[in-house]
Amino acid sequence: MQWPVGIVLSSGAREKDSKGACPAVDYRIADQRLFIDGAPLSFFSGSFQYWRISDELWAPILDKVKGMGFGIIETYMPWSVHETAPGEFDFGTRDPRKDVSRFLAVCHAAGVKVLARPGPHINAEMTYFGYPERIFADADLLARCADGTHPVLPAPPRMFPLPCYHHPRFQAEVRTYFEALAGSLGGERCLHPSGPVIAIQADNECSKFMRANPFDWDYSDHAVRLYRSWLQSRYGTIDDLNQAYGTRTASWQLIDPPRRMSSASARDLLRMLDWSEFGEHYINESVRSIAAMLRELFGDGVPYFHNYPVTLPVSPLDMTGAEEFLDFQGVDAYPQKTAYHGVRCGVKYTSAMSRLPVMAEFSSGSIYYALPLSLDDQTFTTWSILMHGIRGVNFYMIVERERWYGSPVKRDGGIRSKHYAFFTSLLERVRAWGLEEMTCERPVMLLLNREYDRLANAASLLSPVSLLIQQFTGMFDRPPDRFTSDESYGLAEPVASRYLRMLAFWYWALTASGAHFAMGDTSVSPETLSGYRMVIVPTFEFMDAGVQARLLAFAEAGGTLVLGPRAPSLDGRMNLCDTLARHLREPTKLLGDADLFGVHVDELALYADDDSGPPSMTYAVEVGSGRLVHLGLVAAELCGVADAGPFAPMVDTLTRAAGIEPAFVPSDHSVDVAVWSKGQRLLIFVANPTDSAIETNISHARGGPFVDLETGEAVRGDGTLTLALEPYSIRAIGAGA
Amino acid sequence: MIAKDLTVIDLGGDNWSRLLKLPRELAGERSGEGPRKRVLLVVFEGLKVLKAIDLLDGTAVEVDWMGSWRLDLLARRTGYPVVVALENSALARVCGHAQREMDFRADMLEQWGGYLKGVAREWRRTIFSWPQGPARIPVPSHRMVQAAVSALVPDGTIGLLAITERGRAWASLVLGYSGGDIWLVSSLDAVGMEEADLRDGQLANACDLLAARFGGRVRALAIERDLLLKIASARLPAAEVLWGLNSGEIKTIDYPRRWKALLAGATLLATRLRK
Repeated sequence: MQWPVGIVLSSGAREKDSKGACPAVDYRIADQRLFIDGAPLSFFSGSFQYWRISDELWAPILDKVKGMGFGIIETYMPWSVHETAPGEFDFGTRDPRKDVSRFLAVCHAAGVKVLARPGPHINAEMTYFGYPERIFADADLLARCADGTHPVLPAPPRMFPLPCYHHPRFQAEVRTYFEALAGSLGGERCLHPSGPVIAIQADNECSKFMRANPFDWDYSDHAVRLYRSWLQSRYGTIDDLNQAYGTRTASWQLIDPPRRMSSASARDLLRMLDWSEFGEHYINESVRSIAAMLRELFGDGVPYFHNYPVTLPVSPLDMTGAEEFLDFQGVDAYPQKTAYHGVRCGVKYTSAMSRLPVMAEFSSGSIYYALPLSLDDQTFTTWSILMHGIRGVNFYMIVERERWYGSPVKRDGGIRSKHYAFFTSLLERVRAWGLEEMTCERPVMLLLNREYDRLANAASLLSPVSLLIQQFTGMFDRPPDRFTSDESYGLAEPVASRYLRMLAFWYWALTASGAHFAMGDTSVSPETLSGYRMVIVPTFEFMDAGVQARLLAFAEAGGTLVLGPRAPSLDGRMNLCDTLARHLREPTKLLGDADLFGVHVDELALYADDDSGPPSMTYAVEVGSGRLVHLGLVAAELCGVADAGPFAPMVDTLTRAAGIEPAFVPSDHSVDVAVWSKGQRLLIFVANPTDSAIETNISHARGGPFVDLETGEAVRGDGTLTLALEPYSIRAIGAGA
Repeated sequence: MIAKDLTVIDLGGDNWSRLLKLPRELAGERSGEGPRKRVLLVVFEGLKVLKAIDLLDGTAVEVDWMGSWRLDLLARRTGYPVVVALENSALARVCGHAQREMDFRADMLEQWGGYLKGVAREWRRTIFSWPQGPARIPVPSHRMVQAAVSALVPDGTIGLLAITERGRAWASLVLGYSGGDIWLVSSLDAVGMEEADLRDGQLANACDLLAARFGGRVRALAIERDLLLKIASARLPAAEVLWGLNSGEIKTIDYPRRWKALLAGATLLATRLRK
């Protein structure tokens, strides 16, 4: 069991209810499910943008959506659509399609729940992404790049400059809109049970618009002010900051953020890493301020959530930090079937790190200027995300509208029959198979290191290129460090690029071995960590002292911690720290450009064994009731499961040594298996993410008899299941009642 | 050139998928002409190389850096026919140039022109290539481009491009042009003819329906998909076009003379380039 079981968020709504003060949603989030009125919600939703559809068609279209099995719809409530002049709004008095209150009433009457997304950023393929045009005319409200210009988002049909969310006047403008919206909706009265709204999203895809290189933007006055106050809360006094940076700055007001990546020593690097980390604070504070406004207007009695524009929210996105003020978070993806691993790794991460891992936007149809998604893409990718742990999906767009195509329900209320049939059968199957009640078995966790992520983001070449953009364009399908500098920046080696390579190495090696693993990052809580038997984390010269202590505690409590290639000797502030290193050995020999299992590696460290045996690239140290395993390997570029195949036996040995018996391992490295269970019941997903048909054997030690859940036919095999898999297909095999 | 409130509706799910895949399909028809050129990208800062990668597969390449003025030598030593060298700040500088002059109300083509101007300003300052290319990159003014388009496309035009398979619409594109802007992107789905048979006067019928729906004067070009693929790969595209016009595999309705001239010019040019 890996889910952070027992994490329950009470809304406090029931207390308010009992006093009769205000209506509110009776909700809680537990075991990665959202419970409404005490019952678990089947979190399958579809996007329906009311202002783009004739109001006469709202009800018949909702019937079509319900006909597929959806009980929830999601809608934006765009500022630029409702604002007719500064401070003046149309909520249906002039244009009936803008009558959002009536739209919610129609949803409520139809028994459809609503996820409300009032922005202010909404995208929705709208010109200016839902911001009123006048906002951009006020240069004072805009963010600034390192060179003083205003950063621009090159989105069709008009590029626009990006606002600074920390400008008090921008916040006041947003508040004015939210107040008008809340007034139109009757504030808390729109919330379930008196209304249909069951959750509200604070802003949308807040990610510095993917221009997330720390040296790109925001250098506006209000952002710099926020940076200084963040540093102050981090270091306390200016003297402490000077000591940490090795500087002599007289006051906080004289501190300027760095404008380019440059560092000659580990101490210099700290300033860069701080600025990179500040990007996370900048984003989270943006969302926090929007969420706070919405809470004031709609009350606390409803879950608030946010979504990220990528499946793997690397720095400057900070899911753990954001869950301090949000109830849950989702990720967005519009993948083609060939992007299987890009989506898989993101889902593995989100499903382990989010309190309620949902796809807040998952493709149904396509953006007019993007590469088209076929129904084959839709089928394969939808089952892929469910297979790897997504617990809820909002299909964007379930109802077609302008600037979108290929949804199951058309603008005129007609349907695209094949797509409609797919969604109907999808929801029927998920519910019939009981997937929502089951848990995914994953005893291993691969950790991203947030500090190295920040370094890699700062070391991204060709700003405004960022780690996020690299991830978005396929970090795991191509050399992961291709746009990352090979500079050492004052460290002993190029940590940024080597870290990305090590992360990819572990991802592909674990995949090739057939190990069932989740992904997380070093901000993960000890409770979540304790759900895993083995944790793998790439380590280099420096590592946050708290993280080192947490990981050591995990091992001491009986877990197996696999680390390396280096034993960290410094903490996150570049002070000496031997929390982990004191348990580890110095290598006796370093081999550069070596061959290992027939694969080229950048470096191999050898360690002498205690009993004077031959030196080995790995050794284990007992700590408490667990162990540390040190692997002295610096991988070269691995770009796929085939590259990593030779390392599969090594991973198999490591997992067995951690007490994890291999289960449901496919004979073909390309085939991917995920195992879900509840009691004796098993649901085994077997995916073929390649363009060739594959016949594979899957060894198993438990369960049976096995049945193909699609066809109802028995799957034969004694100790081994033999399955034929079509290209880009997923089969679902069931066992137990 | 592109309206701010561009209307993009009724693209038709399968229709638009086919249409967006078409350029790749047409390029595929020509893929037999030779392997793609490998390009080496070098990102440098002063005398240091921060990364050199093969742009096709993204793999790192070891290079002996001799400065941006000796890319010829680098190309010879590494065997790459094309080398692009970017100073690490190059993209930020290009963005800076564009952002400094950007008007968020301006036409998107003009906005992109800002980036092109940025590249032109950084050309041979922070952006280098081998082969060297022109000494400076000419950037046509937006006004000039707009004037050329306005001269070519009559105002109030609704253009219909239909790609047919044995006379039946396989993919279609409807563009509306008015007041110097493309204001509409749609397809035959807008008039319920997504996969309609366009023979026997039905193309004219589609034009009438589009005119009734969107206004303006509808000008149509229908071409058989097989012929289009043939034109893409033929050594004599002009001959194929001529054949299509005579055999009825290419049909036009209210097609302006200037478009005919343009079509003839383009195919003749393509014929010359293919030789």
